[in-house]
Amino acid sequence: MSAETKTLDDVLTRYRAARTLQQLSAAASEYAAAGLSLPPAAPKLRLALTGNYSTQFLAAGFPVALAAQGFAADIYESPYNQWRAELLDTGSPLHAFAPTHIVLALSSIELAYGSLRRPEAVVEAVDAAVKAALRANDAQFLITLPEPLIDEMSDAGSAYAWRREVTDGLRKAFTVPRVTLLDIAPLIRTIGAAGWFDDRFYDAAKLPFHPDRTPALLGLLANAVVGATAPRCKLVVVDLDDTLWGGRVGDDGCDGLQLDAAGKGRHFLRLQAFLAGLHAKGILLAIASKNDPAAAQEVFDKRPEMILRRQDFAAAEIHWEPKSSSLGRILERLQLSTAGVVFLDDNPVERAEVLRRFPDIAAPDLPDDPAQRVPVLERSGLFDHRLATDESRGRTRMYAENVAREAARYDAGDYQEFLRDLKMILQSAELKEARERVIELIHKTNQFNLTTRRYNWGELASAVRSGFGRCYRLTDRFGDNGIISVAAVARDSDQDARIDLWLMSCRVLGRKVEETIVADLAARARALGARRLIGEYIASPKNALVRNLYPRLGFSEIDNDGVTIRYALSLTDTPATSATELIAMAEGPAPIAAIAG
Amino acid sequence: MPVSREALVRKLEPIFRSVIDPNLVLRDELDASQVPLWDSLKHIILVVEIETQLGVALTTDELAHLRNVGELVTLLQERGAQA
Repeated sequence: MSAETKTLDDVLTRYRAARTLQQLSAAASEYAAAGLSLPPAAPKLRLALTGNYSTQFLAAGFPVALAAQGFAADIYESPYNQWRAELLDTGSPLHAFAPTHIVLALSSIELAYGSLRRPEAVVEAVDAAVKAALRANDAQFLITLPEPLIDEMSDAGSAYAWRREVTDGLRKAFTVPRVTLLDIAPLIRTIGAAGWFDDRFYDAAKLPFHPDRTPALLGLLANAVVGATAPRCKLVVVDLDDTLWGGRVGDDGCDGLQLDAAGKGRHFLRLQAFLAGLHAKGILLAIASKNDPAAAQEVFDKRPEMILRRQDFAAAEIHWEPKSSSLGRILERLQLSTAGVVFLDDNPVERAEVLRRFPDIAAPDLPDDPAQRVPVLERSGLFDHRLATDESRGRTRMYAENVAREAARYDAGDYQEFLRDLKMILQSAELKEARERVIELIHKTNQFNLTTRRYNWGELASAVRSGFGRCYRLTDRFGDNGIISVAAVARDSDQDARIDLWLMSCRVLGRKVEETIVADLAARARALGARRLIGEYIASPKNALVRNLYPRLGFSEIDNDGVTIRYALSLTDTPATSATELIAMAEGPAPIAAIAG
Repeated sequence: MPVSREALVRKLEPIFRSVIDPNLVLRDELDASQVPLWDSLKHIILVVEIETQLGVALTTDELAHLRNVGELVTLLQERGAQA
């Protein structure tokens, strides 16, 4: 069975990579020839394709294009330019096929220069044919709006006026949920007119675009078909730091966040505007952020550039627990299943953690470059539900059974398993191996910072003169997180080693890294002959996150003078090291690659 | 100096094989009527692949009607195709 699955994956990968008609055609043939089948639970649709140009390549490509979206499909293709007769005649082969979806692919070339010509005649013909078909069956309709003609040179010309009249007329004629109007002009603009138009192929083969544009158009059509079918996106759960705004509020401060419309903040505002648009359409928004709730609230309160307001979010989970727990709670609070849920987070580890527990939600790969994010989401098709409604009978029929998937049980063991799968390697090195980064972290880190001592290099060197300083670099299967923690340990007496400074990036919180680091510090202190490891916590306006860190790591409080709370860990007992087996320790300064290999 | 017919056939054969039939052997007299798999759709793919891989552009008429390998090779020579 796994061999078959792999073959299907291979074909789908080839389909997704297809940029030419030959590549598309090869993938389509392989899919057809191999008799590949999707899992039996895959929804199946019956798609009828009719239009006024050569649709054979689209018809041949549709099965594999829909398979790539998880749909099995039977395809019926009308004879060339028979769309009017096929739709109007309820006894036609198209109607006999009993389609769940009808794609009416119309090109301006035949409409504008064929028998219909006049805009009102075109609108009337489409209107009559489609409405007859709507009465005759319960299929979803997808109609491509007439594309710009190659003659459309300016908005003062007749070709532009013609298309506008037809488009306006069609938009007015079809306002029912079962009909989706698809404008392919944005696709043509993206490809460029020079790559799209090629009159020779219309003359020779009645193809209104260059044959190699077939994969792009097919992808758009398949997205629209699925968009009219798939569970409507109903909830977007979004991260805050480096997703909704630029920077991390805990470290950069409310005022330090990038939200400047004329600068680096623009692309974060773009995402906010995108989400605000979804919100206006009735899609719920929620927050899942690893953050201090008060700091997050401050951004909503004090940054006037924020497009989204706190009350736009139906739920918010802002704390340091795994995001899968946050999502679980949000779904519970909003009484929603996982269907139609999209999770947006810039961090691939968070996405993987959430997907592990909720495999059927969508967690698109947000590019690191904020400028690329909205385009990726726009292209994803995830929000392309257009006019589909849950009431549509066609949709109900298509899903043989709407499997209400109960959120998989997820206990502590599963999370441990997730951490194990991350294949984390923590590399420890002397401070001088990463001097600049160490100083940067010392001055920038606010939240996971036990003593907030903002040392310069000289002060740091003297703090560890009799002890040691370490910095830690974390890699996992998603890549290199860089230097994520710095610790400085002083020897105050023969008996004690004291953690004078310890800070860590919040990005890696909840991954047992702090447990591993403290075990490393304890081992090093013991090797120097210390009998106790002393930890200090000095409260700052921003480090409440680690107020209880030392007790959590097994330290006992020994002293509290109102400013500094001191804790001790005995080094004479063997410490429990259950955490460290999830993370491999490695000694620097050898290159990470050598260690991982 | 125009590229030789043999060089063009060597270049064309893998294209024909990938698009139409993996066992096809090209000869001048070969045309679509002798190859069942060489239908009008395959013909379009063939034209696109030839144009792309040999860096030439055919006219509408050539694109629609040219189905004899020998004529195709002659035409490609005239167009200065790169083999």
